Amino acid sequence: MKNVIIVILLSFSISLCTLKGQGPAIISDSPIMLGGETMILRTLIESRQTSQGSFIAYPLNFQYITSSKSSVAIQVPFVNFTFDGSDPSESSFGLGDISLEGKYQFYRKDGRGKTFRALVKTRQILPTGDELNFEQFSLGQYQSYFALFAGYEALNLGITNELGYQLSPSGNTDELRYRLGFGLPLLKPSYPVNQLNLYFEYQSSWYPEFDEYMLLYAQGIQYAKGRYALEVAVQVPLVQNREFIRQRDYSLFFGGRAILN
Amino acid sequence: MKYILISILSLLLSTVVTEQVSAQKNRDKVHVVVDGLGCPFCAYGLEKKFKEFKGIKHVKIDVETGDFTFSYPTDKGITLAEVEGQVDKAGYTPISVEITRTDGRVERTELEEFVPDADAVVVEASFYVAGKCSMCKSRIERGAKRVNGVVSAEWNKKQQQLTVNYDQALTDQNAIAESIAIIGHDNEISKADDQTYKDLPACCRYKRPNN
Repeated sequence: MKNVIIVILLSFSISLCTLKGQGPAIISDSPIMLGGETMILRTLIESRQTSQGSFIAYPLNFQYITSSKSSVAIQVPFVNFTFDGSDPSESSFGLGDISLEGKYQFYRKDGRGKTFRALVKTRQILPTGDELNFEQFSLGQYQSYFALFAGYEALNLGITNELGYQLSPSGNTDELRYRLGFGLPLLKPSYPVNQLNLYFEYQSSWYPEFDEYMLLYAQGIQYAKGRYALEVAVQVPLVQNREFIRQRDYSLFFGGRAILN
Repeated sequence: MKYILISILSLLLSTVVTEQVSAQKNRDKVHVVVDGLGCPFCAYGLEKKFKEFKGIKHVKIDVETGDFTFSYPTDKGITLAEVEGQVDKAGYTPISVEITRTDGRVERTELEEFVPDADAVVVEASFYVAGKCSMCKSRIERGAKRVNGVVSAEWNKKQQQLTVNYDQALTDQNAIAESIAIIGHDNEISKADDQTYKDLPACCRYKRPNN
């Protein structure tokens, strides 16, 4: 763990010395629509350790960018889980909650080597998974998420902000969520794409039904070449004012994305 | 036999080289300065949109300076307005476009004042152009002025009228109207296509009869 921290700090120091060019955030969203009529296939496997057990999500995300201002996406997650105290052989694998997403960019301000964009987005989550208390992947109930999203992308820094609210008929998974992400590039911007980027992402969540609060911090690194990107990240809770059964220990992320056309 | 083979190969090679040189010669060179390329992936989006222009080659994008260059077959007669429109459709902002034609002529969007020849016949015309705000005014006037031969252009928001002065030997009302429609403004002579209209900033979306 000590070595991991040293590597992260070292990477961060290097990045501050050589700020140049970055790409789409790992856990947060991206405000760039890539010219429209573009298909992106993505997966970001999450291995989450919680107070209840181990969960792994294998989401398959297909995004179709319909125009330079709008996109739609479908996410089909598969989940694997083992509850603490149970026999590891009892771990199960199944379909999680399928979700549909739409985004629309309503504001754009461009400058040389930089852009600021603001979007609205919505996600409708279907109860196709089991009730596993696996937030964002398998809660087994209908949920609707509405958010305002704004991103500033420049060659030396990327900042993303997302403020959203998740609603569910029962109210027990309602969540006010704010995400703040910073992307820092390690390589000089070039085209065709060849990038190594660091990400620092925060997620702040308030759950009104239980009056609980959680602040997560994620550190990630991404390598992008041409139309492909590979990314890894680790996420840990900084603040958890939650009941023990809903507490998280950490999450590890590993994934990739490909622009198909 | 050896000499015959060498001669045939030389002939083939020279044919290929000649064809390539000829193909290069028959291509316009386009240079666009683009704002909004905040990351190298943005450049991918831009290039992808321009691949809709069949025949585009020699694409180079410098994300740091916003310089985007490519070549395009001369016989397709790409226009400044088409290039600007395509950058806009890709979701970025065109700052300037320069097309160097194969005959050496250079066309630019930068609004250098057109000075007609002393014997030129400059005529004035006014026609209806739809718009809504000061951004529309700037876009409409720029759209008109980039047509070679246009001496001046002024759009009146209240009356929705564009008044242009142009050298009638070089252009006409139809060409000016078309140049304005391509960037999203319906007018008396030409109608903008629906997607270009939808891509206008929200403040610029004027009322259309069917909207």
